[in-house]
Amino acid sequence: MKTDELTEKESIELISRMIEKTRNEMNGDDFNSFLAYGYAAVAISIAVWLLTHFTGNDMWCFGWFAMFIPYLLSFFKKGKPEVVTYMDRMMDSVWKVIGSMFGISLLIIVVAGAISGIIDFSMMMPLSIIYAGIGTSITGLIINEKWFVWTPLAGLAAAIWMLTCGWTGGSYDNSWNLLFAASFLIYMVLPAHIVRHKISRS
Amino acid sequence: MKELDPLLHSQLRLAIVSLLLTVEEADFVWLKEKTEATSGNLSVQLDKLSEAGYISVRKEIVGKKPRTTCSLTPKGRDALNEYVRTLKEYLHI
Repeated sequence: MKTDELTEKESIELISRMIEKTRNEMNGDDFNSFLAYGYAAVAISIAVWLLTHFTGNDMWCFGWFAMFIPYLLSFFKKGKPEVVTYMDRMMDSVWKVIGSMFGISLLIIVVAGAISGIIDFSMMMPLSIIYAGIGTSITGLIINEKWFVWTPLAGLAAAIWMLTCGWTGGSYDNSWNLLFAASFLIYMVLPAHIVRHKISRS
Repeated sequence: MKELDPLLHSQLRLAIVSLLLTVEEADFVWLKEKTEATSGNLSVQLDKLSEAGYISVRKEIVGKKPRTTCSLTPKGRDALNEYVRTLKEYLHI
């Protein structure tokens, strides 16, 4: 492309052509982060369930801290993207807020537990499902993808089940791990594969 | 009839501003690929647009490589809107 002057018609055509080129970038997300966090959640929850089931030791639930691994690994992924669309920025901001919600919840649980003498992380399980579900739904609304918008409702049902158990005198149960795995499979892994398939077909 | 902005009425500069219109920011390599311009020419035109305040250019070192990131400024956005409005007048659209 040169710096030559253009006719008015050529100018309009050039603007349209360039905008069309950027449109392709907006469909560029491969949803790998959804698969990374989704599969990590499923794998960890099944591992924790198996270990707790066969050893009878609830301490295996600390295996949940392995969920930080995908986050830490994300620092090693290749450099900054060549182009950042408004959609990218918006999704990035949404997940930063969701990440902060996780961080604040963990902090409050630790502080409140330190004061009361009992640090109980079991509340993190339903909260995580709700937070990640909200993030996934908002992502779905931004990219206009109904699979991401609606499937978190399945996770919400599981989270409310867990919370209701807590309020009605029950407590953390090993089966929560399986509910957690099912939730992330339904609203993170499955939609990400469906949308990736759609993108590859188009 | 109003004159077209001479800074935008050039193939490469108009392409750069149009590309930046729909993205938040883009780096030099991406702009070079989309505009199919040479590095030297693209660099000169980016400087011109930056001097006019139409785009902002950020230079940084990522890893061990230099990286130039460009984004459209509000002034650049207004200029492109005005340019398109004038074009429409010319073309009676």
